[in-house]
Amino acid sequence: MGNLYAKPYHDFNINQKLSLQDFKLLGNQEARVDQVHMHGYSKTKDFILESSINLMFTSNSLKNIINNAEIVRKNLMSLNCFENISVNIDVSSGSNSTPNGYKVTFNVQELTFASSILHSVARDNEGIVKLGFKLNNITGHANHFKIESSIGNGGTQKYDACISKHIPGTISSCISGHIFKKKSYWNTVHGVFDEWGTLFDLLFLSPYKSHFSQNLQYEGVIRDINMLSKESPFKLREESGFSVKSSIKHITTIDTRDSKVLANEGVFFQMVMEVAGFGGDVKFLRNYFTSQFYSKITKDVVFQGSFGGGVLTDLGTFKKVNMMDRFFLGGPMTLRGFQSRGIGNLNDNVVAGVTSYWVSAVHIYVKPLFGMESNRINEAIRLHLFCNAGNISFFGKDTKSSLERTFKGFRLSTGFGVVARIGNSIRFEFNLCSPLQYSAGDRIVDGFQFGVGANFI
Amino acid sequence: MFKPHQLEVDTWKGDWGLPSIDYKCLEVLAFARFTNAPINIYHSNNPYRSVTGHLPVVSYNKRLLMDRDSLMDCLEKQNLTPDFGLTSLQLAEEHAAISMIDAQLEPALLFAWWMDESNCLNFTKPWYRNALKFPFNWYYPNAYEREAKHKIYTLYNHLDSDNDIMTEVYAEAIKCMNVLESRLGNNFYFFGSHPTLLDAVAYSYLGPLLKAPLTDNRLQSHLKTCKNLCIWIDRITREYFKIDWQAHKCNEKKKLEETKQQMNVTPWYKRDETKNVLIGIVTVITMVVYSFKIGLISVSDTSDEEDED
Amino acid sequence: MADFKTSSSILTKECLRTQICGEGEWPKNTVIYQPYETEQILLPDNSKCLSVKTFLKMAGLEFIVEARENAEYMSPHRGKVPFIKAGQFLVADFEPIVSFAQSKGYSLSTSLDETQKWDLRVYMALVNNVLLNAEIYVTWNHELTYKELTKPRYSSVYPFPLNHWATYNKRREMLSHLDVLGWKKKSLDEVFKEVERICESLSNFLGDKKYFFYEKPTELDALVFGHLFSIITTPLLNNRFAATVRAYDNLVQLCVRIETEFYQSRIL
Repeated sequence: MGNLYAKPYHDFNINQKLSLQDFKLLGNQEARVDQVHMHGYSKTKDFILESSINLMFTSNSLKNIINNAEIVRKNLMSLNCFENISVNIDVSSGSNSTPNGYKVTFNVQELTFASSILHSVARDNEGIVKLGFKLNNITGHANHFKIESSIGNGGTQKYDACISKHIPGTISSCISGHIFKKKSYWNTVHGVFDEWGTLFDLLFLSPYKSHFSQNLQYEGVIRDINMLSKESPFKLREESGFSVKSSIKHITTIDTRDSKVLANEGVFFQMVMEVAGFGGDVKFLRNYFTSQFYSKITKDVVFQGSFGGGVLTDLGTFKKVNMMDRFFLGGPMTLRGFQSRGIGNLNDNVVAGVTSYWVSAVHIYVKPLFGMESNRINEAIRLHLFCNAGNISFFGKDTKSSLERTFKGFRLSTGFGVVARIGNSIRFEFNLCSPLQYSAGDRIVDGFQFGVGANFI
Repeated sequence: MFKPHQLEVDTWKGDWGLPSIDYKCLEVLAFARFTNAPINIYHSNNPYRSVTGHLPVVSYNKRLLMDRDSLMDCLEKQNLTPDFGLTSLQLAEEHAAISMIDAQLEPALLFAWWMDESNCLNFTKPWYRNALKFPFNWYYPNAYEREAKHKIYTLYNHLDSDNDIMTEVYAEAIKCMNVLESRLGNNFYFFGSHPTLLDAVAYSYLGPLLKAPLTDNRLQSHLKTCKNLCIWIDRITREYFKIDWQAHKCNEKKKLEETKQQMNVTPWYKRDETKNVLIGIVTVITMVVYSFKIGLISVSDTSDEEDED
Repeated sequence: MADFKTSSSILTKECLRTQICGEGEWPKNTVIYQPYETEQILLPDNSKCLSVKTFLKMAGLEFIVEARENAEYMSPHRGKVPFIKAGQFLVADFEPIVSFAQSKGYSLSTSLDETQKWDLRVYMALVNNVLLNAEIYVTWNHELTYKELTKPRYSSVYPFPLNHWATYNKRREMLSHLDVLGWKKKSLDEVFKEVERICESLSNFLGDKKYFFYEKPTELDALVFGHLFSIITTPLLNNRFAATVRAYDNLVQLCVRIETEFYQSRIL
């Protein structure tokens, strides 16, 4: 939040700071906004800003003004046009002022026209460095252009050109179009996946509760599967070659966690629904979701429960869905104690990837400096005790027997370890795992396992 | 007066007893020598004027002859052909054998010269840099390397790693050498007592492979075990490229003597002790200067003060 | 790198890489994977598939043919069809398959002497390197053939954006292959002249023998049959390619002979 000053009543000394009590008193008093000022922008067009600012004039008390100012500030920041914004609330003076009138001033600092991108992210147990440049606010309509190339330590390469535009309003939304080329590896089977594609994304962010968002995406990709080694399972080899996926995806996200990686309290829920088959040669309906629930037991102990699952229905007749569409389970951030995509038999008679899965986890986190005030170590590192369960299956027509199969012979693992947070979204885990229940063909890790990524269970 | 046209050939110069080090140049030269075609050879070492950026540039009567077939045609018109007297069956065999040699030895030669890193850095590029004149020597070696790599990668695009390509290319070349060796046997040349086009082509690939002083010489060491081929290569060099052969022999002798002399006398500035002492002196000077600068050592006129006392 | 010092180790390594040193019996359910014959397959691939099938039939080995639209991508050496799956082994292309069969004790050329083996080798190289390139040239570089035949056939198995994409990629690959071998700048006439030379060489070598090496068919017969039969029977824009081959009577006779002996059901 920016700087917040208040100087509302004549009987207060000008330089005296408000005490909390006074503030509470003041907060409920009737108030209105007389003027809103914006300083410091030159390129951004007025109407882009107006729709965000309009919210200010609906406020009816000082508390409301302050809340709204914060929301407006967030909305403005989400346009990606400004480097920082400070808010200044003052009583209005002058001829047009009303008795309870306030004047709100936003001091903004615009981003420079061109800037470079250099940061690191983590995904699927792989650290990735992103390099690129972006052009901010090209015409002043909050539209951006960016070119990014990312290289991961596992060999993943991605080149992405993206053009995006923010549409401010009561429901702030963002349209973006991507063209990308991606190359990723699956080392256990010596597989290379190449993708060339376009992605159009429409993001809706609910304005008042920023933890609820929806994405509507269209994706058209040409995929190429290449098995490099003769040791690759033949079933996987049979799926190599080109295919086209053209799909519409809807993502709903609710996120009330106080941190994306090491939360203390809150709920996270994400549900993805994807329908493919508008052109292209694979047709399927795919639903999957992840949920996390956090609760603080004592000051130093946090409980996390997670559950996720997915179902894929093949709608195609000519060409089957291939391994890039199906689900895989296992990995140091999901079902610990198993290798990445390590569940399920890869031998010749079993198809890699499944059409349904579920996975669940229970964690108990303990802050390493027990009983101390919150400090940097407690913020960034936790010890945890976990128990994972999950299973894969092929979902058939007969729902009852499918359900039975889903829960029969599930995988179970437990262990303890250290979780660390790097930046705002990267999670490191170093665990001692022991898989308790598994079937033949699973690639297990009985011992230490190291994981890094952004998505976890 | 009628003056017959001659073949004009720009080539790379020779080395290690070969009339030229480039296999394409060598092929043309061998071909011309075998047929006794009138030929003017310029060791220009400069592909600048060539259309393709490569040597040899072969021209006859102001007309450029771009490839083997056109050269053959041109010579045939003058009744000069090395394949004289071969039966149609032998011609067919020659045709087939050449296609095999082209397909299996050329990639091996290119790989050994340009793709093998130590050979490329320590032998091939320096050789071309020395042979070329100033501005060109920075361009052509790299261009040739690019071209060779492109060619290998295109032909073997079904393989993924350089190592795989190397095993396949070398294995094919070795098999090819083995059959050539057994086909040649104790014959003077592949088809009896006269060299033919097949000899020219095989010589052009095997000559450089045998003679070039590569740092990594896996193919060379195999070729050296093929005694018949070695004798045959030397025979061609001796009989058809006498001058280069003799010049090479002289050179070798000279070099041997030089190295002998060098063994005895090493000039003082090349000795290791001198180097070490020099380095030591420079270090000491630097340290002293630095200590003056930061004030570790200061020179004060103490003598004056003592006098006053 | 120490294991690379000698030539024999290079050969061993190569064998290991191509997995053709496996001992033992010919696996029971060996499968040949190839593209769809009627809609998809192109002349060069068809020649190679036919060669391999003929070779296996000549050697009396059992196999099942399976057509896949992505056979080319399934192949252990991307782009090389056909390939066989014999037990856990995958072997692609004519020559490696021949050596694979040889390692299992099935070979057609064991009775040949040294000179004949040399002949076998060089003529196989001739067909593999020159005739195959001519087929690739006609299929991919000849503009009219490409537009009228190659593109519709190759792209027939792909949906919209991919048909252009995959065909374009494949063509670029093939053209650069021709380019580095110096075939791209040849004219169609020169290519046919080259084909004529090969046919002449082969015809001279065959003479009026029953097979290339007298009474028994060998790998060379399989290879030559595969290529020539495909050239004769594949409908192209004009029949110049086929006519060039048909001009050599003894070669056509060879094709007919092999066809009747090993593929009785089909008619030339």
